[in-house]
Amino acid sequence: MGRSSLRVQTSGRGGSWVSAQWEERLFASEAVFGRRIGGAARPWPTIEAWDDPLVRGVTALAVASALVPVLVVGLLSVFLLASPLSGALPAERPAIDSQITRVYDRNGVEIANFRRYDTSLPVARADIPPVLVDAVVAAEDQRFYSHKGVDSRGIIRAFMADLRGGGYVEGASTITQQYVRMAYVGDERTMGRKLREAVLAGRLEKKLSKDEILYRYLSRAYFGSGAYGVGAAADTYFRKPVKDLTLSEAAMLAGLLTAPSLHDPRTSPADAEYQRVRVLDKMADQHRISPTQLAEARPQRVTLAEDMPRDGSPATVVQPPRTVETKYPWFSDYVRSYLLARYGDQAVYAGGLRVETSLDPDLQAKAEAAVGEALKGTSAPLDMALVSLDPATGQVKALVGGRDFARSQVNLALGSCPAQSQPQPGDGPICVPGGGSGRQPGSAFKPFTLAEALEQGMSVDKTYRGPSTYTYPHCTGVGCTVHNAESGGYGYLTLRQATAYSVNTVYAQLIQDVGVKKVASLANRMGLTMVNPDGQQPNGEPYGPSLTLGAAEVSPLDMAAAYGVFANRGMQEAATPIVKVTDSTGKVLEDNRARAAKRVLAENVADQVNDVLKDVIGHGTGTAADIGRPNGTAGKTGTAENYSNAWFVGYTPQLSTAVWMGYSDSLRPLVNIKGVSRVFGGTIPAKAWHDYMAAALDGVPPVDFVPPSKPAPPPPVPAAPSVTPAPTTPPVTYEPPVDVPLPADPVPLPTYSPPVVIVPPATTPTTEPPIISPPPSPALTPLQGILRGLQR
Amino acid sequence: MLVLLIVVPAVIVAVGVVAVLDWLGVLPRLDTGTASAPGSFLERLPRAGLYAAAGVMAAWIVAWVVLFVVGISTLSG
Repeated sequence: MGRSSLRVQTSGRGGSWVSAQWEERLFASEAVFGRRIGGAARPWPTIEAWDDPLVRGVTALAVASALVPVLVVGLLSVFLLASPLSGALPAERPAIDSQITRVYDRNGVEIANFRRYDTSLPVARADIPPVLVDAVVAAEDQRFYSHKGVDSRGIIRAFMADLRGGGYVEGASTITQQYVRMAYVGDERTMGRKLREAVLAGRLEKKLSKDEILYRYLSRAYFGSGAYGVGAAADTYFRKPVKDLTLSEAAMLAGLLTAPSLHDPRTSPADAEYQRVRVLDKMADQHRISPTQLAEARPQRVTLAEDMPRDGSPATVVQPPRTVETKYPWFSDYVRSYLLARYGDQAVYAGGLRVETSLDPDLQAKAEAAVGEALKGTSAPLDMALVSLDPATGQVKALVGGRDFARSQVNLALGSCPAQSQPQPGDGPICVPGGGSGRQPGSAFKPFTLAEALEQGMSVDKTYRGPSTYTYPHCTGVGCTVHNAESGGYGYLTLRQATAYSVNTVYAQLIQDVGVKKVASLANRMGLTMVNPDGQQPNGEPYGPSLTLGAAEVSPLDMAAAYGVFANRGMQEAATPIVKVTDSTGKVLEDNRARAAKRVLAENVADQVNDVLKDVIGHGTGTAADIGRPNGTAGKTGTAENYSNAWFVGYTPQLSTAVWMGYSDSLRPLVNIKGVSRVFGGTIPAKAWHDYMAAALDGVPPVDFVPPSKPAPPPPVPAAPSVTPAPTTPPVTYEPPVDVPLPADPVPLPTYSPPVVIVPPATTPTTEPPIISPPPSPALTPLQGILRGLQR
Repeated sequence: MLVLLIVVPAVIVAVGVVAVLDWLGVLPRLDTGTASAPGSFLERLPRAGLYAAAGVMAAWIVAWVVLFVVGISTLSG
C-alpha cells in the first residue's frame, strides 16, 4: 500500500520536485540491477529505503527534534510572561531575628550587652530618613521608582559595562530583585534561581508599593559587621538611631551594600570612603542632592573614632565594634549567667532584652578595692571573691568573682549547678553557675544548724560538752572523730558560746540531735542552692554530720543570700542582680521591685541567730570584722579543712556580704600569706569584709537588730543519738576557738559545771580585742600558747 | 545544561557502539543488496546507525521535555 502510494507521489517524470539529475541516477541504477517497479522504468532506491519503517521512524524523530525545543521555549516564555500577573508570592524566609540585650546599672548607665554576631534592630518605616532612601536608590537602583521589578535598561547597561570591563563590573539586579533574593529565593547562582527571581520581582511589584519594598529591603539588607538591616547598621557603625543619620553617613551605609565585607569601614576605611564619595556623586548626578549638600558632605571622610581629627573638622565617624567591654565584668558575667538560667540562650543573646540591674557602682568600686587590698602583694592563683546584697530585696549590689577577669573568667562568686535543660521560671532562688565548683564553707555553715535547732525549740543557752575531740557514736573508720581547731578543748558550752568560738565538737553533737537532713533542708530553703534538701550529696551518699562543719560546697553568692535571711528576720528575697527585665516589645518579664518576700525561718529564730552571731564579731572568732556597730553587725567565720578555703560571711540589716579566699586552681592550704601563717576566716577574709562594709556603710546610719522577742524556751531534753552514720562527706573543718589576742590573766567564769571558759562580751570594749580565757582543762599546748602569743 | 547532560552521553555511546559493531562486521546493512548499488551510501550505512541516531534524537527530545517540566515548576514555585 505504502509502496504504491509512494510510487504515485514520486514517479512522475517531469514532476516539479524531482530533478532530471536524480532521475538519471535512478535510471542508471535500474540498468545495473535490471529491476523495475510495477512495470514502469522508474527505479527509486530511496523509495525502497523510505518503505523501511526504521527510516520513517528516524525521519519523524528528526522532525520532532527540531520542533520540540521551539515548543518548549515558546511555552516557557508564555508562562513567564503571563504568570507574574496572577501568581501569589511564596512565604518569606525568616529574617535575622537577633537583637542585642542591653544591661544597665541602677543609675541607668549601660554596663554590658549580650548579642550574637549577627543582629538586627527593628526600625519603623517613618524612622528611615529620606536621605538614606535617596542614597540607597542612587547607589543600587536609580530607576527603582520607574521599573516593574526587572529593569531591562539596567540589564543592557550592566551587560555593556561588563563587556567593556572584560568581566563582571556592574550588577543588573534591581532593589526589588535583591529583596526577592533575600526574602524568597536565596543566593544560589543558577539560571532557575534567576528566572524565579525575575518572576517574583514582577509579582512583588504588583502587590506592594515601592516604598514598602524599599522599607523591607532596608530592614533586611546586610551592611557588614553582623548588622542586618539599617537599624543595626546605624547602631553598630555610628551608635545612633537610624533617623539621626546624616547625609554622609547614609552615603557610607549605601556604599556598603555592594560588598559589605570588602568595604568594611573598620577594616578598610579607604574602601568605605571611596564608596561613600561614589554614592554622594551619584546622588548629585541624579539630582537627589544639591551641589551645596554635596560640597558639604564630600569632605566628611570616613574616620575611625580613635583617629578623630582634633581640629573638630566634620567627619563620618565610625565607632569601634560593640564588645562585652565593661567596667564590671564579674557582675556582668553574673547577670548573663542569671539571665541564661532564667530565660535561656535565645532570649539573652537574640531577644533584645532591656535589663535593669541592681549594681551599685559605688559599692562595686568599694568591693573591688577591698578585694584588691586583700590580694595586694600576693599572686595568682590565690584568689578572693566577694558578694554583697541587700537582704531586704535580695538585690545584689556588688560582686567580685576573682582577682582578674582578663586572666580567668571563672566566676568564683558563683558556684556550679546541676545541668538545667530548661530555663527556670519563677522568682525563687535559682542556682547560677559561674564555672567553678563551689567551695566548702567550713564553720560558716554552723548558723544553719543553729537555726534548725532553734526552730526545733532548743535554746541558745542549751549546753554541750566541748572536748577537744569528739568521736561519733557507733562510728568506725576514717572521719569519725571531730577536732576543734588547735585541738582546744572546753568544758560545757552554751550554743551561743559554741557559735561565737566555733566549737566543732559541740556542733558535731548538735547536728545529730536536730537531724542532718533537716539541716540540709533548711539550708537549701534559705538559699544554699547547691545543698540538696533531700540530704543527699551529688554522688548519692547521704550527708554526714560533718555537714554542719561545712562539708557541702556552697558559693559566696548563696552564702550572702542565705545569711541575708537572718538579716531580714527570716524573710527571704531570693538573690538576684535584676531590678527589671523587659523584652524587645516592652513587655515586662521580671520586676523585682515589688516581690513578695517568703518566710523561710521563724522571725524570732532569726532574731536569736542574729543575737548569737553578733557575739562572733563582738568577742568571738570574727573580731577583725568589727565595724563599730555592736548591735547591728553579725557574722561567722569559716575555715575549711587544711585551710583550703577561708570565709567570712556577715551582715547588717542593710547589707549581707560574703567573702571567700582560697586558691582558684586547687585546695592548697592557705599558709604564709601576707604574714599570716595560717589563714582562718577570721584573718584576711574578715579584714576584707571589714574594709568593704566600713566603706559601704560610711555615712549610713546604724540600724540595730531587733532583739529576740521572748526568752528562749527551756531547752528540751535532747534525744540520745541512737545511731551515728559514718560520715561520708569530706572530713571535718577546723576553726580556732579564737584568733584574737588572749587576756593576760584568764578570767574565771561562773555558772556552769564544769565551768565554762568565756568572758561575757559586755565587759569588752568593741574596739578592743575580746577577752577569752583558755579552757581550764586541758590547758593550751605549748604550740597553742606560742601561736596565741604571736597573735597578740 | 540538562540538554547537554542527556544528549552528549547518548551521542557518545551510540557512535561508539555502532562503530565497534560495524568494525566487527556483524551489523546488517540498511539495504542488503537488491535495491542499492554496490558501494552506495545506503549499502554502507548499517541499520544500527539509524537506531543509534534515533536514540540520540529521542534523548534530545526527552531533555527538552525535562527542561520544560523543570522550567514550569520553577516558574510556578
